[in-house]
Amino acid sequence: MKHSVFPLNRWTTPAIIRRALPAMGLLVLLQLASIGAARGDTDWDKPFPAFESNWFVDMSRFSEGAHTGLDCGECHVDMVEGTQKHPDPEAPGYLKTDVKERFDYGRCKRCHLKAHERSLEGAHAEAMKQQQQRKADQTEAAQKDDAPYPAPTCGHCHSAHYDRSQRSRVEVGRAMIETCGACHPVEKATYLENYHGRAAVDLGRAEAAYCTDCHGAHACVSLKKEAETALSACRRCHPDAGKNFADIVIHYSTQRLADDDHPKRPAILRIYLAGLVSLAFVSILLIGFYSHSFLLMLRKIHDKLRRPE
Amino acid sequence: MKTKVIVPAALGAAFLLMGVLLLTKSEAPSPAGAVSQPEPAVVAVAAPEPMEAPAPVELPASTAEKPERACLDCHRYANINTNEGVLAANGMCNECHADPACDRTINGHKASLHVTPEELGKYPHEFVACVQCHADVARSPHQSDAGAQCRTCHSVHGEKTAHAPHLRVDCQACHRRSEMVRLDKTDHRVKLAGVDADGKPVDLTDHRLAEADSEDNCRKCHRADNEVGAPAAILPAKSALCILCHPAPLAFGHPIFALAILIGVAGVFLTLRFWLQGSVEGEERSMHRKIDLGAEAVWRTVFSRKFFSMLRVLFLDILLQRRILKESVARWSVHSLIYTAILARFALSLLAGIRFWFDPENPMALALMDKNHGFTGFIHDLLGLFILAGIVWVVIRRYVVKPEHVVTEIADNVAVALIGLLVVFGFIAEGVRITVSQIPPELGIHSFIGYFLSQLFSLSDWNWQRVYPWLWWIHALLGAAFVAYLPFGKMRHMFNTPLTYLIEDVSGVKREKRV
Amino acid sequence: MMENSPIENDAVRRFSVFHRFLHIFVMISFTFLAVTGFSLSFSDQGWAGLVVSMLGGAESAAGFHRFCAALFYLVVVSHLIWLGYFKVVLKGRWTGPHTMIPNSTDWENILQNFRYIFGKGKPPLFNRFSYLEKIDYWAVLLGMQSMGVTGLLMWHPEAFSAVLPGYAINIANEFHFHEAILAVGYIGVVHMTSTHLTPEAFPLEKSIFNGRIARRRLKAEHPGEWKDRYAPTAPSEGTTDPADAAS
Repeated sequence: MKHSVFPLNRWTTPAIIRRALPAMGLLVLLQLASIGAARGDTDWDKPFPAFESNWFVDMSRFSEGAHTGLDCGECHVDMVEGTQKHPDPEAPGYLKTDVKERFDYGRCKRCHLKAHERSLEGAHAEAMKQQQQRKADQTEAAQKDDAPYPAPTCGHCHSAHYDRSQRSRVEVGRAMIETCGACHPVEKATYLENYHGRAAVDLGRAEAAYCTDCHGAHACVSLKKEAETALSACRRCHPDAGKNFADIVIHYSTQRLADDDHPKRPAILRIYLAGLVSLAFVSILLIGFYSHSFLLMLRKIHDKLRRPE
Repeated sequence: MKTKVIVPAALGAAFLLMGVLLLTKSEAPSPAGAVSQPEPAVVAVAAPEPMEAPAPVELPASTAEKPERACLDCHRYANINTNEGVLAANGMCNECHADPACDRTINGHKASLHVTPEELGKYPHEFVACVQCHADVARSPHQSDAGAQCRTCHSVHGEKTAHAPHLRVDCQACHRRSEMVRLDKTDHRVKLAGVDADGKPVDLTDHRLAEADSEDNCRKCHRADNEVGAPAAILPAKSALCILCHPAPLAFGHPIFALAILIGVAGVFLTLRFWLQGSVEGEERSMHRKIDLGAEAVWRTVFSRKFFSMLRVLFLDILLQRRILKESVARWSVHSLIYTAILARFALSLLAGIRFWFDPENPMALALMDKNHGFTGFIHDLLGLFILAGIVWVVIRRYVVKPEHVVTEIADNVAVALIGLLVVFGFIAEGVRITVSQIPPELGIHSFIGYFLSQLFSLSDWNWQRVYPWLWWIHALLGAAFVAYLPFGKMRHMFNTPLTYLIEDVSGVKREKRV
Repeated sequence: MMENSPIENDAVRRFSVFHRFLHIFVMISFTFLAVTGFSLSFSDQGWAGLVVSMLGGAESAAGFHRFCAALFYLVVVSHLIWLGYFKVVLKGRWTGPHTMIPNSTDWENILQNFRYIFGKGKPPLFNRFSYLEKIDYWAVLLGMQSMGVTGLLMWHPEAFSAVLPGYAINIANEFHFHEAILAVGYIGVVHMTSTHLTPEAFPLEKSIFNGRIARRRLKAEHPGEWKDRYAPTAPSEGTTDPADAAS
């Protein structure tokens, strides 16, 4: 074997793989895209995927955030004042309460006074009042909170550690859809199905409306009840809009059909039925024409094959 | 203890260095002016470190007194991709969980939450940070919504190791030592149970891993009258022969499947031997010369211009079956219903197998392997229905209509019966599988035939968990018989006919004389 | 009228230059309408973002969609004007066997075609336009009206909601989308197979581009028209071509 013409020892496994690589190039190329896509999901560099509220503060992201110039103590006053023990196993709800509900967001006022005042006018502040009312009631029935989500504090929507400043309108808008959509999934889905969502979020058209363009920044008002409020929201971009204009259904979802009190229920029912009819019409026509074409083509090719040259 | 000393010491040294750098580099009096500094990189690094930043005036004076520990001693997000980071991050967890008194109360019973780092160190995850797997617990409220994450590092097993239905089983259900498993109806996954049947908490602090490939471990679920929807018996993995219709591993599998594959391969060789009995390019006797000459001829043909005409034959005559369409539209339709449907299932299975082999986390491969996935369930049932419709049509043509040119031999009957039974038992097994594993309607409805059958089966109170293994074996053995029978019976035409077409093409047989 | 048209003796003229010109306009504007329209309705897909960014963003893609729609409608209008010209100046007939108006022979042809499909008879003898060609024509002519109306509704919701209820805009959106799927699904498969994939024309039916059809094919595919107009009655056949006068 030592003097073999065919030098076997050169054909070690790595060598074979190396030599076979060019031949495998095409296959590898074909796979690269999908591997890349799948690896993107696992996020090796981010050990805490998607959980913004965390005992560990990522200083590399904090340093890029809007609050990077602040010292911990400027917001977490009670942790550093020295009188309070931290962590304190004796404290009520130690490890159990959500930090976003425990933190005193009144401190945000120091810099964000106007935003704080506006947030006290809207539906979120109203929900907060009701939640506090229920907690104060202490009755059995009131304790059974039927609200699917907690009334939001600043921290539910904003990440004080990591949110960056000076983002573009499209960037803020896209992040907003995710933030609001966490508690309003139907509204998020329907908005993304609507022209506004498709243009603004998917296609990045900065002129199209994002959540707060209609529902207000921090005030967060529902446009369901009063037609006048809704119309004034529309007129921000559609100055010529008339009375009926606000009746156009933006958040179109058949789930609303279950809600008898929904003001747009009759309109949604009509849209649904009309859509159903047109979909049935289209499906029947296409299935019919496709079968006709396929069978006719089979017969014609058969005839052609049998025809003498 | 060591880390607790080293980390602040290292930090302190770093801060000192930066402080010196800042002082020497800039004479700007306020940090507000830092924005316009010529060295933004230095500022960016120094700015987030709160210990160096001058205290804002508004803060109460008490902050000036240093607390026992600085915030970032504990709350710094350590880089857990490094060993040092793992030790730093685990320090926070061990603060409580290393204490033997650490526990919680469920339904009035105390459950220990004490994890000894020394114990953990004996097992594979010694150098892994707690929060690498328990990714969402380091927060207030201190609880996990997602459970421990294995798949940030590990990929799912394929069909060979853990059969496709286990795509709906959490890693922990097999790999942890706890005997308690449950079926979570909300997402329809089999998970580790936190409490036992009596509501007592299960001690899950033992981080040792189970011997997942032992049969005893499988019997956690695969026993009679289990509640997680597993069949009562442990079934083998699919074999390579199943790839004709299902995503299957590149392995022989159970000895019976191996035997079937061997018989099938032997049959192919016997056929080849039969073909080589005649003379090859004038050579009558030596088998070696015949193979050599034959191979030479094939080589010369493939690497010649005839290759393109062979491609044409492959596409038109073999894939689209132009010659059968020439015979009759009805024959083409019957043949296509069976052949194209099997070919499509084969192509899908091959696609899933290859993609999974390259990348086990590939979403498309996983979707194609999961029988309950909407697309997979629907397309499998639809193609199966096509095959069945083709078989029924064949039966009607051969035994009811009986056109003159159709001659029925025993070999035909065997072939038709094998494929027909294979599909019928496939559907029945699918229906029972959906019944047994309690697939909810919104998942199951895509497998429209299987789901319909499962609704029928659930009317009876038979112990379907015990029936399913029998059905699975009948379907599998029919499949094995099909593969073993391929080169001997009528199904030989699957190899013969395409080969004949190609040989005719390259040897220039006149069109009128072709088969 | 067009004695000098370069048509060989073995072919006759089937489409005038004007009709070929209109078809090219329809073809181009339809393709761009489909691409721009579907990149809005499937905007969450990667390719849609790519197409829109290639067209210079969502606003210019929307503008392009409306431009193509206007172009398409211009074709419809010019066809209608031509119909008037055909009637008044050319003294043509709007009805009859050689026109697009459906008649009883079409129904017979459909039945005969189904007999042929199932191997129970011979292919039907079509006249100047087969029933599939008539469907092609009417699908565009009528479909364009409803696409135009629903599209206009979504283009100017402020103006239309003054006279219609608000949900009419939503219904217009549903109709517009479903009909777009029908149009693309029909043109992409039925129209393409019945013209280009049919064995007589495969791989490409050129007659709508060069206006010519071989006499052999006209005889086979449109025997009615062949019989009425081109069947050799006089020995001088081929020198004066009645096809020029007809179109």
